[in-house]
Amino acid sequence: MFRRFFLLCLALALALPAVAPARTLDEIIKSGTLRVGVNPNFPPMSSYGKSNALEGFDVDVGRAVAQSLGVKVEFVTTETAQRVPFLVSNRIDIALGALTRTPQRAKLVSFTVPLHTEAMGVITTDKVAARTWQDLNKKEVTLVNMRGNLSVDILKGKLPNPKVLLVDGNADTIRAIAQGRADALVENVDFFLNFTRNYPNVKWRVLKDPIFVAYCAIGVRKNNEALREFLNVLLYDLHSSGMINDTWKKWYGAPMAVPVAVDPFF
Amino acid sequence: MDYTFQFGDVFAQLPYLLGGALVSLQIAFVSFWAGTVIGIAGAIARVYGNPLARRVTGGYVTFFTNTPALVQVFLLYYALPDAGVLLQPMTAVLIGLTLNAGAYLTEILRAGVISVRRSEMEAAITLGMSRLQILRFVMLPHIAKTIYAPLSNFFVWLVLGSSLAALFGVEELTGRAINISTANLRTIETFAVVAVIYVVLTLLASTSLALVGRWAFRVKAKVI
Repeated sequence: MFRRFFLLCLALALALPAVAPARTLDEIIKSGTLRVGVNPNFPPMSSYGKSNALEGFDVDVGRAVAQSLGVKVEFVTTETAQRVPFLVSNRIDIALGALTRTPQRAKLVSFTVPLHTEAMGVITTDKVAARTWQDLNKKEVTLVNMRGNLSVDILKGKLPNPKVLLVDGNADTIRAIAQGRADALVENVDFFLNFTRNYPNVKWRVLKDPIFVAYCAIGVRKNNEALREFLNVLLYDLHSSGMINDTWKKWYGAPMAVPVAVDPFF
Repeated sequence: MDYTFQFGDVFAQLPYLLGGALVSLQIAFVSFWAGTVIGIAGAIARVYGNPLARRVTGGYVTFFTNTPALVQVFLLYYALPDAGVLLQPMTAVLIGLTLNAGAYLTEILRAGVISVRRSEMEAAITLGMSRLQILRFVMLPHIAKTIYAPLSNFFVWLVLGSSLAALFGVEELTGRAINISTANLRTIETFAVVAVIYVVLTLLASTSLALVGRWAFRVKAKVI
């Protein structure tokens, strides 16, 4: 039994370094397809629409990137927690899906300049008396969030007292509040408000004052510099031409809460 | 360009992960023994019960062995509240896995019940043993010997299957692994460590089952 266990460990150790190297910009252009990681359950960023094809903000951005490279786009669906592993294991060339930029993550993957912002607000119901987000900092409050969201860690610093319930998907968080399992969700309100339509009888409330603003960027493999430089130059053009904000408005019905300040030097 | 493995961020969180492993073991342990109670009752009903009891247990086994455990827990957790029953995450997972384990264990134990020879049962009745005594001294030792291997396989499955609890807000091993890999993004390293913890857990589980088998029913099981 022990020998088998050691063999298993050995096999695992041998399998680990077998991670394929990332595709360079040249290799992507030569292959004729750009593999873009998007979340399939994340409307209006990306989801399967009425015609059962992927649609949303990220899908439009992915198409714009591929078009500018002169290649075809191939969307690869990844859940929140799988975005970076997919990048690291070379299943995708670029990762979308509201990938929040943080120093700890930047040790592992490279980020472009910001693609969009996320302003954390509160979604709650009339059963909770809070008027500002600070009112939620009580022991009897339960905050719901998604496993794999970075906001879970950031919130521990801002709101240390409430209990935390971590569920699996965007829709599950709203369902948990509607069913009374949790009192509030603190996240980018735009990402979650759509799901409240499933519960029209619940009196939903949104506290909009931003708790903090995070920047989401396009993720690429560490040291994939040529690809990252290309994306930075392209993002400057997409921002300054108004494409990013127009696309955001098209999908969210409102401009980005905190727009990205465009800087030609990066 | 190549990826460099760094386990430091994961090893720093080892106590946190081991705390989650304890929760995983608890889930597997509770649902296994509660499932065994259901399984014994179900197996006896399927072998010795009247046609109605056979039908009912048959339906139960068919339903729970032909739908994914994940779907069963999902319905318990998210559908029951709409009927006015709000189960806590851990309760929903335990009830779901117990009902699921009960169905599989009914089938596993049925094989054991069939292995009890008719002549031995008649001898026990002739000796004037009560139903409970027959179960304890005649049937259970037979059942234990016949089903020991599939039973410990199933327990290992439960230890590994308890990972679905992560989707329902239970902070067990897999859930905690996802939590820390969200922040450090060292997913491959985190899950490599978690895989080793799971191997240790299942080794512990099968060792303790072997000891229980030897001690209670004199099953000749290899401890390691």
